[in-house]
Amino acid sequence: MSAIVTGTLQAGSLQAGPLGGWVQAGPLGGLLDALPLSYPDAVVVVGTAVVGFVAGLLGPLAVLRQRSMFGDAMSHGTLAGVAVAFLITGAKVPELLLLGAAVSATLAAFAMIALERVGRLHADAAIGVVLSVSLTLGIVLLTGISESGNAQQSGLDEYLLGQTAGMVERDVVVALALAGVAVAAILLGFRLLRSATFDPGFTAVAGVRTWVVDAASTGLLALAVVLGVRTVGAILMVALLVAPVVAARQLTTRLAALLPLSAVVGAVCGAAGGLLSGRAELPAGPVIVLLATAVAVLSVVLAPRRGVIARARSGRLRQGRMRQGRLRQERAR
Amino acid sequence: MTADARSPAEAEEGTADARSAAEAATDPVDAPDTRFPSEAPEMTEPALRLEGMSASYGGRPVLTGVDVEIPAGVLSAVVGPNGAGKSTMVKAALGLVPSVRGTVRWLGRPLRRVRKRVAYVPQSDAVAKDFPITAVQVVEMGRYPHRGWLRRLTAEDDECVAAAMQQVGVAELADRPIDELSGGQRQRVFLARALAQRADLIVLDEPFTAVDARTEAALLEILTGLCRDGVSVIAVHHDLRDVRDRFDHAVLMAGTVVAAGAPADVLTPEHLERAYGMAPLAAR
Repeated sequence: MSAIVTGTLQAGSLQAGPLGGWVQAGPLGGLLDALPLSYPDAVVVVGTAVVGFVAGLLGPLAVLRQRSMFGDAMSHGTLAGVAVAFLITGAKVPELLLLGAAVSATLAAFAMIALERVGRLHADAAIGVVLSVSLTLGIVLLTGISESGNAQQSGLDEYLLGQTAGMVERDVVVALALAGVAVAAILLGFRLLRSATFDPGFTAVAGVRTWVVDAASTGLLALAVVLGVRTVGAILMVALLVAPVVAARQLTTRLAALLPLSAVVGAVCGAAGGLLSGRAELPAGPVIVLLATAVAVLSVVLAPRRGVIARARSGRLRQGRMRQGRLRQERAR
Repeated sequence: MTADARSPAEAEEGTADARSAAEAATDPVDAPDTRFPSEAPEMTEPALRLEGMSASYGGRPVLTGVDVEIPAGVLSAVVGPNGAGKSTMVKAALGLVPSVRGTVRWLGRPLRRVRKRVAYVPQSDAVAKDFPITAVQVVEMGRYPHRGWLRRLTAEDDECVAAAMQQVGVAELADRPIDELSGGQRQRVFLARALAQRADLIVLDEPFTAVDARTEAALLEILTGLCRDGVSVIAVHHDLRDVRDRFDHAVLMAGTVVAAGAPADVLTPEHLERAYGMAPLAAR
């Protein structure tokens, strides 16, 4: 792993300055210099924060629509696209690899929808098939590439578990641009999204073609997955989509508060995890995901109103069980 | 066109293409009106008219040859055994089922011309129950057909919302999250949404399933009052005694329409035997 780290560091656009510090010439210079961090650390922190922010903001599109595993299969689907993009171009150009990831994630989404609709499979079966097949395909292709002896290929395996060491300022700029797209889409479509997710029947009768909302939210989900796959890795990306939502859901009862809250949780976990993983020389994905999961668990237990402890205190847990018992009795009768 | 006139193969084909191209081009609900050109929407128009409607789920025909007319300004029930296609008929007429054939007229017009005037209250399990949304935000949805999906709600909208919540007795629940409400309170909130829409026609799919008896009586009271004011109400319902005692009109279903008209004429032993295979106890 350390060979990959040094390899990708050298491949980055960083240069040693006259005093051994890092200098840069990118468009975000001012922003990155303002942070009390070294330049490479600042790039990683801002980059992973943006990745986490986008995942947290768009995660509700998966979680609230009960499509978390759909998002998981899409992120597993990115691997094959990364490998194919590398095979075609013969070089590790991040933008092209991400384009490959986007194409194959979209293909995975189409495959699941097709299996569900035309093949008349249940959603979980369709997801299971696509998830395992696309991961297998990705691993076979990546293994083939790494055994081909192509010197260029080192570091492709970072798409499996995520890596921040190779992150350069250009990646941060791309991430910020995509984050802008995500924020704009959510602001513009908020009412439609809330309505169509909460009550698709009412929304359709009101004249909305709900497949358009479905397609748009799947597209946005693909955006989050593709943006995060290099940092967090194809295998763990789903956790960064889900954990911030779980944490935020305990703290609010309104979607308008849930989305920014979840985005902030994602950003903080991303930044902290990115920094920690670099220091501990661990892959970024597991560290970020463990942090986000810890925050989610804390929130589930400790949240003031909806948390396990708060509900146990207010007796609502007990009441809920009694109500369920009564319902069961009524049904039995 | 009746379902009998088509071969099963045609019906199958209809389903397969409808799924993939569900919203493309002309779906029958929104098809331009050729048979009833330029009719003014008057009270004399029936609330719902279906001609030769058929619908299928996953290639299996659920409804065939439905011809029915539900009058305006009355409390009407759609009844029948499980799997009789009660909900499917209503959903198909609202364009919520992919493969539908036949002619559908709401208030004398195609649905797309009267969307603002038709309010829909879906079955309780068709709604995301643990969704982060408050009661007042649900009721505000009733204004979206008028205001659109981007514009802010106006003071007039706020008045409609507040009045509707007052009318069904959920004003004090306004800021409560929907997942903390009881089944009865939730159903009141959804009825408030239909009222806030100021619709001429309210369609409810099994509105009383997760509701206590007191709430059911209160909701029926409100619906009856609405009908007195000229609003049409169509409710999918399964309680035959309720329908006989409280409703003005009934449609009895069993894959197609068995009978329609005044509940006393519809819920006869012969009709019920045809629909249920045996007369249910409640109807005797």
